[in-house]
Amino acid sequence: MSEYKGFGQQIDQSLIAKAQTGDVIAMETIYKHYAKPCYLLALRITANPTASQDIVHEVFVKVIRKVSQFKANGNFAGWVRQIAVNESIDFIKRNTRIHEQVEFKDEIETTGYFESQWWDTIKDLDKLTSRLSDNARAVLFLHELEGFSHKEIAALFGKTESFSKQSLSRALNQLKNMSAIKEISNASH
Amino acid sequence: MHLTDNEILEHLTNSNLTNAHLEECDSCQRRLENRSEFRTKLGQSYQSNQVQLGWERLEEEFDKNLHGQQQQKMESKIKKLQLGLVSLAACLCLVVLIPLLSSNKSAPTIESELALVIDENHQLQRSVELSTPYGSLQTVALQTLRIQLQQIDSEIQLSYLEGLSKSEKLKLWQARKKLLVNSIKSLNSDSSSNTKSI
Repeated sequence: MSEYKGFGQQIDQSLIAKAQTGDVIAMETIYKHYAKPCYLLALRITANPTASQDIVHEVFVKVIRKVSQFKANGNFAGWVRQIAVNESIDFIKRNTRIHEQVEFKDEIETTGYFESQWWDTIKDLDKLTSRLSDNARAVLFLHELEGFSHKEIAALFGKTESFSKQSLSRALNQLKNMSAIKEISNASH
Repeated sequence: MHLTDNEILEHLTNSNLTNAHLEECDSCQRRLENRSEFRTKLGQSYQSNQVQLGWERLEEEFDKNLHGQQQQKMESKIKKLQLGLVSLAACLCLVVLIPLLSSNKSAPTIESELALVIDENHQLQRSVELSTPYGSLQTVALQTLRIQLQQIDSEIQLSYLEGLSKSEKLKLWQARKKLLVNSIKSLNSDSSSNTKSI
């Protein structure tokens, strides 16, 4: 997961201090450190390259405007990442179709997602995840890659934990089904 | 009973969760490992996506923001300066106006009192000058009064020349008035006794 080294990579405090005083070179260096990780995060959540570029732009507009408020003892990379997550979720909220916003009432107890490594046959996971619903894909990446808990995801979306759990189950279910269909179609060819 | 998928999914995000079952169950351990593999696979997604992210678009925003911040700082400095100047002006007004107002309030009282006493002195002196002495005693008394008036007048003149305070001048004028009043009283009483004796 080399992309996470981007957010895992902490920059020098003096660089942040310079950026806070309006040093353009320092801000550009910060941008070069975190623009790619922000883009990757946004792309995974939205599956939309153009929107992801806009999200990166919005993230850094906020970083530029609010960097003076950042406290020196805080985690700068974590702060930037949180802005990127918020911007990406906001994009999804704005663009999610109404029928996708209906919350799930009942929890579906599922088994069988990890009995086998069904994903081994998937050559293009990007394409499959892009076919997931916006909410399901966002929850999948936030929970499985970014390490957000269901409670945190629910807060980000302004919904219940049940919504997050069900979205994750739905994402895994759909991925597994799509991989099976793809396997069958490959075998038939 | 085996762990559900939800329990497997929560295990990695909540590492404190102790599960005795996992230690004993090979099947669930394998599922957990598979889940970890899945996360690795997921972490490789979109990695190959090449994008050109340009700082240029943001540089303009940065300049705008910096300009805005500088303007804000300047405005706040100007506001502080204005506030400081207003405070200073207010202090100066207090320092200058309070003594002026207080002196203006007391000045008319002394001045008017002084003017009144001077006027009374003139009237009293006129009445003394108009009076005709009866007998040698009154003539002597009038002569004595003139000498006393000359003395006090020279003191009054001196007070004006030396620029003494108004209150001191007032005291002298009041003393002069008192002298005149007493003299007139004694002259009147002398003349009435003379009339009685006649």
